Amino acid sequence: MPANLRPRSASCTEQPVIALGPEGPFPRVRLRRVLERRWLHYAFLSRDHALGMVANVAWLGPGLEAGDAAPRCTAILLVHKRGEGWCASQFNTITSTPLWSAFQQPHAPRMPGPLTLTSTSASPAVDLQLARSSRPCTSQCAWFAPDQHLRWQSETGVIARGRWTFQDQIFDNVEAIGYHERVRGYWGWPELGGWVFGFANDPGGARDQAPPAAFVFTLIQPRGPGDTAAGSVMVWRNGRLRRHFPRRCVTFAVRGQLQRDKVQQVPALSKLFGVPPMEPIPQQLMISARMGDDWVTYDYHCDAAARVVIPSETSLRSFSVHEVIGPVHVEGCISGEHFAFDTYGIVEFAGGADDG
Amino acid sequence: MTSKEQAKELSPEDLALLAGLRRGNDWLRAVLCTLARRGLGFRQQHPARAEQLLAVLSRYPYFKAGQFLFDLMEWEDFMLDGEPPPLAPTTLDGPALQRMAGLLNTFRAHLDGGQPIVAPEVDTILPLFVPEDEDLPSLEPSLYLYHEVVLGILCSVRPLLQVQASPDGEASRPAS
Repeated sequence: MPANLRPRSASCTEQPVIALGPEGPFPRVRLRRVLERRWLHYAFLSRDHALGMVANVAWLGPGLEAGDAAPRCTAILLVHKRGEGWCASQFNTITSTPLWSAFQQPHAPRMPGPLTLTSTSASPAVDLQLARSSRPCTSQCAWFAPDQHLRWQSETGVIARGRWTFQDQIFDNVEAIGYHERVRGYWGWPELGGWVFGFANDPGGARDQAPPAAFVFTLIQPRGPGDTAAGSVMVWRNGRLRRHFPRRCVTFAVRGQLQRDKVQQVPALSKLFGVPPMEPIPQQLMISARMGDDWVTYDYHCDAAARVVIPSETSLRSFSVHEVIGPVHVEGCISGEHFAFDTYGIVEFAGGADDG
Repeated sequence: MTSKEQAKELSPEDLALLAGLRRGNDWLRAVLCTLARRGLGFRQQHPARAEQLLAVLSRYPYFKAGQFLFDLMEWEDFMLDGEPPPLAPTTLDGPALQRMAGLLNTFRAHLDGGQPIVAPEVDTILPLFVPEDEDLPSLEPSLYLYHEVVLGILCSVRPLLQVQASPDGEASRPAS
């Protein structure tokens, strides 16, 4: 088990006194194969939309020949300041231990817990207290290739308070609201193909309470077989998942291309990889979902993007995850209750390892 | 609060209740992992056949419902968490299949009054199942375990579905 995931050295076989299921965000089983992956993902936007952050901590199996070796861990932190762009660490961000996760059980809502992420160069960095205000969605799984799969589970309405460091600027007592996700599975980047993913939290409502509405969508587009694309739209109301629109009820549309001078490539050392030109990012993303009388739309405009270049274990081309921040209008009607809000959201456009 | 600290707060009755749930958990985990290991063994022996079976079943409404429930209850994490459980070789064995067939027949008769309640014939079921659990492969986190469980169920009921050759040599319906 990764050292930064659990507070103490816990062997794979150690059993808690009372255990009716996994205690942490991941089951206690050793990662072995190279493509066995686990992630904890964090994304937050400050209440005033001036600051945004995305962080991902990933573990990868050491390989069958490595025996009992520990999994390889990478962690990256990106902080965005509106008008000034992105500041990113390399893949060696220093993380607090244990890593905060909404999926650490038991986990009381509104009980703050620490999450500290610091670039080895001290900037960017975040020193946060995170608290849940909502409940997670159902665990979901996309399988493809045909023996690969990606399993994820997300929770909106996570409230973050603390210090943010962007370049040489320090911002204290920043309150942000965001999103947490756990991901695990077994996949290669070419087989995975690409994904589009994003969220938005309604900024209205009381500060310590769950957002009145929240929106999360996922679209995974594996290379094959042809019918394996997985997607969904989920809507929370007051911290509870109220509607899950399956793929057949969701349409995605894009328009235009984001100007390429608004896309910043990170981490800095990725420029040494000789990566191919970046894929275009849409200027606008429109998602609509309808199921019976319930409907929701997500009208998103890309504003600033960071292209995170991820080396691929099984292909020459790298995998690119474009973290995008932009304004969004969300509107819908669930069980006869109409809602609408304007805020900023974070969207990911990812892919590229299977091209060429 | 650690689990040891939690235990101090609980009464003996609470602990007895939780211990009962734990026993049920252990049994369920052993059953699920046994099915998954049977399915994995089948997949390793017949990879193309397993892939085709799953491709066909993926359009089956019960398969979709099962996948939803499997994900909803987070059974994959539950199955992989901790020391692997021992095999439960009586999982879907002859007596279990006999009871399951009776249950399904009864359910069908309750749903459709035109259907008779048929008692399954023990002799046609019991001799068909041959335990093959001795050399089953271990489960790994690289597996999407819902598929392995489904394949394991198919392997377990396969003896009931022996295809009988018709007199004219065509593949015929499964034995009822």
